[in-house]
Amino acid sequence: MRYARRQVAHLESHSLIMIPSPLAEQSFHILVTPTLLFGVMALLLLGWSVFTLIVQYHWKNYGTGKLEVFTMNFFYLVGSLLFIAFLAALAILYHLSK
Amino acid sequence: MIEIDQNERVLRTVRKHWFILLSDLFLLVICLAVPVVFLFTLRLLPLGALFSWTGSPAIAQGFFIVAWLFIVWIIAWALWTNYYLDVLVITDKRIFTVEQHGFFRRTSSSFRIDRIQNTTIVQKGIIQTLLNFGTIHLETAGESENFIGTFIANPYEIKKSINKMHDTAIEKSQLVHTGDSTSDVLAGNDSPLL
Repeated sequence: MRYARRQVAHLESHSLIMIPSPLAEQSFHILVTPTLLFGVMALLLLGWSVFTLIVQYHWKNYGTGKLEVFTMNFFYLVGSLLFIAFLAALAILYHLSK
Repeated sequence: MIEIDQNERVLRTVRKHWFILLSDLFLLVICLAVPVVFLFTLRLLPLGALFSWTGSPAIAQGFFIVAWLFIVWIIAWALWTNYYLDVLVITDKRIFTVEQHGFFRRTSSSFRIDRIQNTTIVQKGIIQTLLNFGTIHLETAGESENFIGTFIANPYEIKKSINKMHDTAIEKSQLVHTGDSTSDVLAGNDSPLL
């Protein structure tokens, strides 16, 4: 056990556990800013809006029962709004945690 | 769009067996596992060095996980819609079939119940036999394409009810013809058969 710990300490001291990434070596960095998060969120919202339009058109025109369509709409919209609210809250929290 | 006449009554709406949804669920489970694998990889490989965080990394990672779950949520609804729109509607006069392939491809057909000539059920394998689902082949009179409904739940029960409705429709049409010829005779017209 003591030997294993010593081995790990040895490896850590020589930075052998962390293999240097070629991208990191070329100083390639992705800067995660609140703007990036809000941008991702805006893209998701755009995609979601288009999807919602298409899916609701199908349900409305090809659905086989009004109650079924209403139930699907209810769960879809409530779930989606929860996700959107959660995303917005996390993006704002990230912005505030600077 | 299914166009049902005002005097037509929907008797049954049949969908594919729930087992078909399981394969979609399997895809969703794989999708759900993606962030877990990604986070594990992030800890194992030095990918963390690629990211610079201006705020709390935990919150940002949480954001990306929720964003991914939101995408999976949308995929789930797309799969559900594809399942939900594949339908077989049986009315007292006709059978409507709708096959949805994605969002922008849709095959819809209908035929009269009295034109059905043969109904065949095919169940293949242990799963279809135990879970009671299979393929229904409906052969119709004329040169029109025969209907094949795949992975339909309770196929034998549906076959039974279709056969019953077919018999009723045939009896009704025979009664109508008999009624017509009787009224012709009563009116003094020559019967075309004589």
